Amino acid sequence: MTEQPFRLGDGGRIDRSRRLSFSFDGRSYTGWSGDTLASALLANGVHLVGRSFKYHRPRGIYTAGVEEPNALVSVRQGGRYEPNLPATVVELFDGLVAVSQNRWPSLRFDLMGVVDLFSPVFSAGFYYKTFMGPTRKAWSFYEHFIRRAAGLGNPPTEPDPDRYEKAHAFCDVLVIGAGPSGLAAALAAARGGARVVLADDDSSPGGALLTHPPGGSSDAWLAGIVAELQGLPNVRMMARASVFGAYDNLVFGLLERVSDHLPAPPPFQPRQRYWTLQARQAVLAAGAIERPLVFGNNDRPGVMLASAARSYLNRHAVLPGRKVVAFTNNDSAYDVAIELAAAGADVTVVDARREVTVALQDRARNAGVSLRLGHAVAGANGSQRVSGANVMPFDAARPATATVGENLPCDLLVVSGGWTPTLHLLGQRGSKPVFDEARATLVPGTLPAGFHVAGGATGLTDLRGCIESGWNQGCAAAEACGFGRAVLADDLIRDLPDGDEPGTIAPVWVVPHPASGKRRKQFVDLQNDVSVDDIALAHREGYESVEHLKRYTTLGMATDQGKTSNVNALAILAGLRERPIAEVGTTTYRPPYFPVTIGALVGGETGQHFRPIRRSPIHDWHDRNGAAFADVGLWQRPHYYAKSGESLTEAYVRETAQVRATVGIVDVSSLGKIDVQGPDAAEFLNRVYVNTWTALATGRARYGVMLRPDGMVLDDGTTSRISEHYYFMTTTTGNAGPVMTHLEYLLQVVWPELKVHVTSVTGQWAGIAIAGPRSRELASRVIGGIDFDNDAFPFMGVRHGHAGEIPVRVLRISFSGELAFEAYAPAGYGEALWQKLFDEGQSLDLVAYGSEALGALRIEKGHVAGPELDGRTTLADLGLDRMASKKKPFVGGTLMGREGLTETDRPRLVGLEPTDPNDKLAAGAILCLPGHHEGHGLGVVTSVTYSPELGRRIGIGLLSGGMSREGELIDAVFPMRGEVTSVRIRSPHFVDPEGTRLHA
Amino acid sequence: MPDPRSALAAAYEVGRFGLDTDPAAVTVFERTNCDLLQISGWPESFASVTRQLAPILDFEIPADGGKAVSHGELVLLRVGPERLWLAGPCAAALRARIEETLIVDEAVVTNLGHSRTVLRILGPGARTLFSRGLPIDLDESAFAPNAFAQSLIHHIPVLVHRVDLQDQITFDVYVPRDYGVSFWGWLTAAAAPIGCLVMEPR
Repeated sequence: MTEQPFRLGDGGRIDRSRRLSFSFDGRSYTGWSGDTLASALLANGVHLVGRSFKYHRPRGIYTAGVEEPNALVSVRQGGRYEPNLPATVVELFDGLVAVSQNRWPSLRFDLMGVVDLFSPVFSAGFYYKTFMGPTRKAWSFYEHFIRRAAGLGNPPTEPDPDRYEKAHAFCDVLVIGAGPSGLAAALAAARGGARVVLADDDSSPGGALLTHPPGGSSDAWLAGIVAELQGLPNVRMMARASVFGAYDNLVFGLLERVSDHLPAPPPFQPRQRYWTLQARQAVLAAGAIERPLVFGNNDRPGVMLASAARSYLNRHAVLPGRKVVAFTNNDSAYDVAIELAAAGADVTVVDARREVTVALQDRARNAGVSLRLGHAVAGANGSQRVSGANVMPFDAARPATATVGENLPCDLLVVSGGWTPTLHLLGQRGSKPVFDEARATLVPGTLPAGFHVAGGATGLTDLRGCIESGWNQGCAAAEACGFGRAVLADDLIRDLPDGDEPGTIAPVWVVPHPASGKRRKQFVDLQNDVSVDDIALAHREGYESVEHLKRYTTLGMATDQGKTSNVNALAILAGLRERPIAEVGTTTYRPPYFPVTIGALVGGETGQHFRPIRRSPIHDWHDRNGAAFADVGLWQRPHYYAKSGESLTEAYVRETAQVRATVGIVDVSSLGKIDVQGPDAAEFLNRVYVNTWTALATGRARYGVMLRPDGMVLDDGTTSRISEHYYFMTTTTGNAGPVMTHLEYLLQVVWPELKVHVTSVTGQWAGIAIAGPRSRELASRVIGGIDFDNDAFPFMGVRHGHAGEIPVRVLRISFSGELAFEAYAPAGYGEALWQKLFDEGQSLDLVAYGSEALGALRIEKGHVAGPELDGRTTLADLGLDRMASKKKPFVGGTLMGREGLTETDRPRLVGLEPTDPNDKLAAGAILCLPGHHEGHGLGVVTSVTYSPELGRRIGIGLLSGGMSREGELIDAVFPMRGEVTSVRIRSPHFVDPEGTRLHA
Repeated sequence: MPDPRSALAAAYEVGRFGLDTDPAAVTVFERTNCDLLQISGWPESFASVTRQLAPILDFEIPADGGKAVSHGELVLLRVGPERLWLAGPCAAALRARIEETLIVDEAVVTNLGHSRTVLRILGPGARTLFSRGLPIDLDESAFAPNAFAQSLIHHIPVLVHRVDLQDQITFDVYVPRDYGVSFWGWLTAAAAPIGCLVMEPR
């Protein structure tokens, strides 16, 4: 076979010095640099490239851009495999591997094509009506088979090896589209002084100019303006950068395909980059998309938009057919027809209009183009490639009177039903386009603030008009930013042809079936196989709203989002409803304008970068010494330090027992720490905490609980008075952020008169708890300048000392119930202090313990923590109601007494002890009366552990009636594992309830 | 006093990485001599606070947020309406003088020196690097020398200050210490495509 038999000998905007090899469905082909996959396939005479979504009908290449509904392919292999890409936007590279989709066993012979024979059955709503019964689970059964029979490409199965980036950009004026109007807008804004970003989907600027015959006056214009823009420091030209989303306040989403045109990204470079761009003004110069004409078998391979044929001809030097029928209802197809004829094709224009200007007719005939005015194509012949067009006399004013005509043999049928401005981004901002009856197209409605529209996006069709429009809108955008207005330079338009008078258009929304002959499917939405009959059926069944039509038929859904189908569908629905098209309206536009890969959306936030991790100042020590880490919010805390062969349980039980026997140290740096400073600090704490703070002496600490305004417990912790106006507050790890927010809110909004500042110092201090009967001995050996005697440094005392040269703040407080201290050092010295304690503690049989043992110790002591402070518990629920002062108001004090929070049957804190010491007890288990396991039960188990002190499993929980049920047997039910454990209700203070140890 | 341990101690590697350009588009090093003192006043007292500070610091107080005042290696950033950050090598004597001078009814001082990891990022690619994570416009017209902003990079709260020393585009970024390693991970990943030189901390 001749290499690239449909490639012209010269011309095009391709680089013929760089031959590229690629394969499609396993067969090797060649193309040139500058080709898309679609143009290269057409150059090789390949028109059949896919099978349709529902009926598996053969499909070809319909467009030359992102609007492509048919030619979806899967490209690349392995981890870089990507399905559902339009061949029209896949840039060819050497070694590209592409395969067709949704066919079996092959594209030419697709067994599922049999579905097409039964297509009258598979009409809109077929699945809804057929597969929803007889039981509620029926759909789950059918779905598997339906999805196998219909669909797009298969998802990738291997990890993507490439990296993706996110980035931010800012500009005064964003110009969307680098066609003639966009280029002019960018230059106008830039000459005015604005910082401009010019973003375009394509690899090269020029837009529709790239589809003009090379070497014309527009090429010189394009080269000149691009050169000037590239030389301006205030202009950033972004190629392969598609604006897919318009969001609030002129924020835009862009996808830059950095390396998609290459076999693999260059070293360190991403494959794609997701930009968030903030503009002050935006000029939408996205052009227009040509509309199809709807007739029988209008989906056959070889049927394509006239503009696409022009692009393949002039940009890629591909003659997509040698015998061409061009079916149109407007003037724009004539240029295509004339250029195809000049390239050697035998071209016949079939024009639905009876009247066409004499000048245009002369141009066409002089170029050797035959004309059939007042005719229409009623149907396409052929199966896997169009072989002819059924042409019949046609009166656009009375389309139903059409009769059978003649068959015109052809191997390419190009169509032009007019143009639809690309206004999706405006629609995303809530600005719906309006229908212009005279031009039979959608045009911009009321523009959102900061938006301007130029060129083909306004409905303009002539080059000079588009450029002037772009210039004016670029100026307006720059002026809106406060820049000056540039004068329209004569050289910008001097050498361009004068604008043609806009040609007429004869709206043709569907060519009716011939009065006699076979009824052939007339597709409106090629991607979703939605036909005129489907729309009519939906209308008959009551789906009159365009939004309902979309959802019932799937029209306008999937990867192309109906870019070529929506306007025809609206018009057909309007006809069925016998209402003006403008009254039918459009569906809602939402981002993205085209599919954006998950990789780009995620960016670099994968693997270790999935989310940031907070590390303690002692983290590296824990890591070096074999700690297993647990995620607590964003923190990574040492969970346990397993000795060789130890399990989690064995490790934490050992650590817990050793703390109670000798001494242990645990990293508590993740606790929230807040400096509360100012002359009104005591008063502030008095209002925030439920207990009294005004009498706390300097050098003393106090346990406090704070409530939310609604009366629920927010958090607890210890606050120390460091000096007269300086308090050091600690919070739980999980609530550090909410507490800080709460305090800031109160100071800024509720009590701005209080002279208090709160500052998070969580990162400033490393915290180490030293717990166990030998903790005093260890602390006194390491930390100097403090008298650790029980009388000199009593429970809840605060002292300052030093470990060597390291300044240390020591609080005598206990979470474990043992004699304990918390030592705080500036974070940079945290590891050094830890190391000193660890080394010195070896002679005292010290153990480093993790958060699991920390939890075991506090459960044994009956201290509440995160599982109990879940935002649904009150002071009384937690047995802390006696802390609340009755002599002063505090946040939450009023609403804690509201109805619903004071009932005595609310779940309240209790201790739980399995009657069989060997029985398991699960956190989250439901507490039920014995044998009555239905419903929500009486409460829940919140925390469990194995207690080495008691030699059994224990837990604490919240139980209706609380300690009034002491001694009762209750069932702890865990339905997910089918476990039922009989537990005895007892005090939550399992160890040292009198507090003897911590006061020792 | 021993040298404090850097939050990046286990992650920091001196040398070149990423795209090989000459010179590197971005140069990075950790500032180890950067103390941080927060001075907070109240609306009715802030003017008095600034009057008291002026003779001690020997340079003007920023009139508004978003603009810092630099004096050698010392920088004063107005991070809130009545809140200042004094960053740089604050000698203990200077710190003590500030704490002694300010009247407690008018201002409070909070030492945050260990709470932040401070990185200096400079070079022609610095803006490009920040654009990969910082949603702030760093263009000359919007972010002139001594401008600063508080924002997020990779969900991490940061303060970015444009320093511009030695005629190079230069930024200091203040990162909460506990996020330091995660931020370093973001930075090295984001800098690889443009090429980066990591220098010894100083």
